[in-house]
Amino acid sequence: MRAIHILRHGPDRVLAWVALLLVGWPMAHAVLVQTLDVSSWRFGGWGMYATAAPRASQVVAFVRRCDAPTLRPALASRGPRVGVLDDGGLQLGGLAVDATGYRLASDLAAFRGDHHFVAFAGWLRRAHHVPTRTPLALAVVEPRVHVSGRRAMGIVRLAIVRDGELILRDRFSSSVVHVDVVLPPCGSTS
Amino acid sequence: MTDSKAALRAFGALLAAKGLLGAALSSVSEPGVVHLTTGALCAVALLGAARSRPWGATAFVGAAALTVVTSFPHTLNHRWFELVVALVLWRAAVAPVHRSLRTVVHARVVLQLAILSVFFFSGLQKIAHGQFLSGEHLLREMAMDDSTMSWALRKGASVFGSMPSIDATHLVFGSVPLPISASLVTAVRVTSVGIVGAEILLPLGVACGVFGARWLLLAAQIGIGLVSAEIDFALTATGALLLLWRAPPRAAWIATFVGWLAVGVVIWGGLLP
Repeated sequence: MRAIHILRHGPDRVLAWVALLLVGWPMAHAVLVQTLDVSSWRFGGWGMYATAAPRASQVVAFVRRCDAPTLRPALASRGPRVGVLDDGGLQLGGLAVDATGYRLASDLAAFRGDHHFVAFAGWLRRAHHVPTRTPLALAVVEPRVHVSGRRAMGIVRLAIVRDGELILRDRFSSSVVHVDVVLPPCGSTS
Repeated sequence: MTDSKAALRAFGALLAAKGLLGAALSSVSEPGVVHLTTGALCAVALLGAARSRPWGATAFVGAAALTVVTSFPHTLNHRWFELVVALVLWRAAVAPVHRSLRTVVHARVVLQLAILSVFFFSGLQKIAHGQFLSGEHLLREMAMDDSTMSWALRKGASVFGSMPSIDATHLVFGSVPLPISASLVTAVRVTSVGIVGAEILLPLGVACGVFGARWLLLAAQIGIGLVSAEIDFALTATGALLLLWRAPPRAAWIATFVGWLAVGVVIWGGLLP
């Protein structure tokens, strides 16, 4: 009671505002996290560990088979952390993206909104010299441990970006992601 | 009042010493004018705290603000916390003589509110987002196996069963069955609920004057700090928790600094993962 009295009737107005901020901002921050996909780990809302920590290595980009031969050498030469994925049967041209230089989506906001995918694709094109017309399928993997089923589930958010626009966005949590199905066929314009 | 003033000064000195050490270490690994400036401001703050001069608190506000500005928008939460603390210490230091006594008491209560706010809202956010309370978050941390926290959780939970390691790249094409024992899942869920419960109830207990709540909160902070290896925040938070006592002895402040520094050396030195 005495502490509340001091907080309400203390002599310093700045301290009173700080006290109000300490109570009000974490609540506003929690709402922003839920509604605008702001990261719970940032901006002083005390939400650390409330959601999965952002891990930048969880973004995988795919290109069409017809685009892969021209892209692979350039992509593979970007450094040892950029590898080429191959799923065997489908022989997709894909690359594991070293996204450590890209912090906006993975660190400040959950990778959910359309603008996050478009912004990331733009960064990817600049960083890895991927032509604008080449469609990029981005798979953002959110590792989850499904407690009730005792399974490690790779929740995958998938998006296709071309010409700076998002042309498809979906979410998969099934056992296989058929990326070649959702990428536009080679030679098509849409 | 003298006790309160001395406690605020000791807290300021603790933070300034930590900032000076951090800036010195950062300057070695990543030389730059920002670290040098921060270190110089912290040195002035430490000197000011030692001599009870208000310019020390002003210098520390500068150091805290510089850290926040140069790391924005990726500023870590404990940097925001330090900026709040710096502002409060500064207001207490520069208060006019005629209301100095009341301002110091006011500042001390706001600092107590700050540390209780961190615990309380951390717990509420964990409930709001759901991942932690279900046990999923801790299981995921254990499964990813790439941090001190993962190592500590695995050690602690080993009596209930082992946890297989997974890697993000294994999950790209789908789900992986995890052979997790039911007892391990239960233990992790109970632990998660216990952590969230402690984060919410202990600050409330302290605010309501429940006997022993402040000791439990201090013990909880030390435990969480050790497991998460968040040495920087643990040092700041332990110092802030000392303000819950009217007159913490000087030895408590020194033990806080040296203790967390020793833990940091063990972890940063590679003796623990």
